Amino acid sequence: MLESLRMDDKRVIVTGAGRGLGRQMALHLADAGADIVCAARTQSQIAGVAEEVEAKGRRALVVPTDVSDSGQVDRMVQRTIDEWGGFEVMIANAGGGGAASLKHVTEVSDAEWRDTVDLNFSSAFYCARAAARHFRAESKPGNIITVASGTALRGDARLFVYGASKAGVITLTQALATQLAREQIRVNCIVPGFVAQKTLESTDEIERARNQGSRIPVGRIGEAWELGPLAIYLASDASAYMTGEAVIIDGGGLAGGLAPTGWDVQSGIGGVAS
Amino acid sequence: MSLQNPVTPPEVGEGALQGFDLSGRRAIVYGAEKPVATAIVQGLREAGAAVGVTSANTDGTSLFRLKKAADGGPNESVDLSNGTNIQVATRKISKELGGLDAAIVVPQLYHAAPIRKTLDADIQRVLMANLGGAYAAFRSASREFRGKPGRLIAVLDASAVRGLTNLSIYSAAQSGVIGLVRALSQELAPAGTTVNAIVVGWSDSTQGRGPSNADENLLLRFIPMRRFGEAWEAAPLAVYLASEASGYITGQTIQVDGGVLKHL
Repeated sequence: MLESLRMDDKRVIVTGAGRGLGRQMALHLADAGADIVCAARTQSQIAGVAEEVEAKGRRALVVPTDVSDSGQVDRMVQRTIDEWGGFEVMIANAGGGGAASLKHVTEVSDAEWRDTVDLNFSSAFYCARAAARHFRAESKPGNIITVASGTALRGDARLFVYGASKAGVITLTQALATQLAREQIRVNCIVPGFVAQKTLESTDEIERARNQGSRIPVGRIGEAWELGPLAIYLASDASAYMTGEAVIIDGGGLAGGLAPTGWDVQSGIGGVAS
Repeated sequence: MSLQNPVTPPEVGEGALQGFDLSGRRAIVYGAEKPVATAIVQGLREAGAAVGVTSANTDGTSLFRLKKAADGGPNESVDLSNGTNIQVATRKISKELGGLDAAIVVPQLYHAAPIRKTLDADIQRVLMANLGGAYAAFRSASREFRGKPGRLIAVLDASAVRGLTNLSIYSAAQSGVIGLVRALSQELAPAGTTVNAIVVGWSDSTQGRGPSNADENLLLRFIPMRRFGEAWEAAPLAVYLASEASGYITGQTIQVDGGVLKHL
């Protein structure tokens, strides 16, 4: 049954493929046999990832795209159809904290709100719509994967605009999954918690990662490569009966979090620093 | 002990995919006579794991199916409502496999009755076979991990997350396992052991599911995908959650349900 994981000759669009989670998803999917459309704003970064994909013996297409602009998303899809004849999987991964991060609610401008919502929430809709139009036009099964964030499921004071946008992505995923299931189009969501955006190399990066990791149940933050196998699972037929699901990969943060100190067995009370 | 960054991706064999290679890993599947569990045993073996199995019940049919699932590998007849039974079987299987890296428990002792007709004996039996069985299996298996990172997985059905008339005690027992998964994920996280649940929706092996044709079966109209799941469809996720590469997923309940739990 594990042959269902193979992605041989499947064509996958990955937005935000230039670095971090998107890059790792692209590389793991290429390992599984997929050809990758590398989309992101920064041409030089996606060109580098495309080279890595090609080094694995797969095809890669470089399409600079700003996903917060629906015209650019439609052009990304059209270019994939023009050059490769179509695609089977859309991974709407691009997103980011935006200028509203860390701000008090009274200080967030309309423009900052809109930019963050466009980049994270509207972009997921644009990508899903463009993909569904293609799958429907071809009358073929399809697969859409969105990427949200753990901040979508709890109130993060520092990232409230981002968190609210990502919460929209989860509901969008569930609703589109039920709307598109009869057309054999699956829609699922990856919900990462704290994950390092790049391979940890310098002492500083490692130090920062360890510091953040000390507040996470598993004692460390996630690393970008850990999203790769999950992307393969969701993008392939191995998850054929899964749709509308939001898979949380966060080191146990959302499962716990009642009290970071745990419950002290000796004293029988919580919140006691040991 | 606390884990630290950076984390090196585990090595995978030639042609294998990260997250789906269990070469050299040892797993136990409790309740292996269930079709979904038997398929998980096959998936784990296909990924290269050595697998031992136990039954959930000790009746003749269960034991017959257990032997088939075992396929010559280590196997023990177990009643999941008996913790001592589980402990002894786990020890034996772990010994035969030379240790243990992952445990999958599939507790599904079904019970349908209105609350006014549910007896104390039913409550006891259903809670012990489902929640008690998962608890005792996790307890015994985690002892065999011996401080090394392990993987604990419970396979539940949709009653764990949604209510259905006349299934009150079964739902309570199944959803109790989700609480167990959440709390245990926190307790075992510092050792790198993950604890997760897979919820399967209606499957072609669900008792009393009716015909597989949407025109004749009202049930199917409530499944967005308009089909029942097949027994193998939970297995790739079980393989992934049993692998070394899934160490950042813990305390989660992941649904493989054709979308049935997502719509109104």
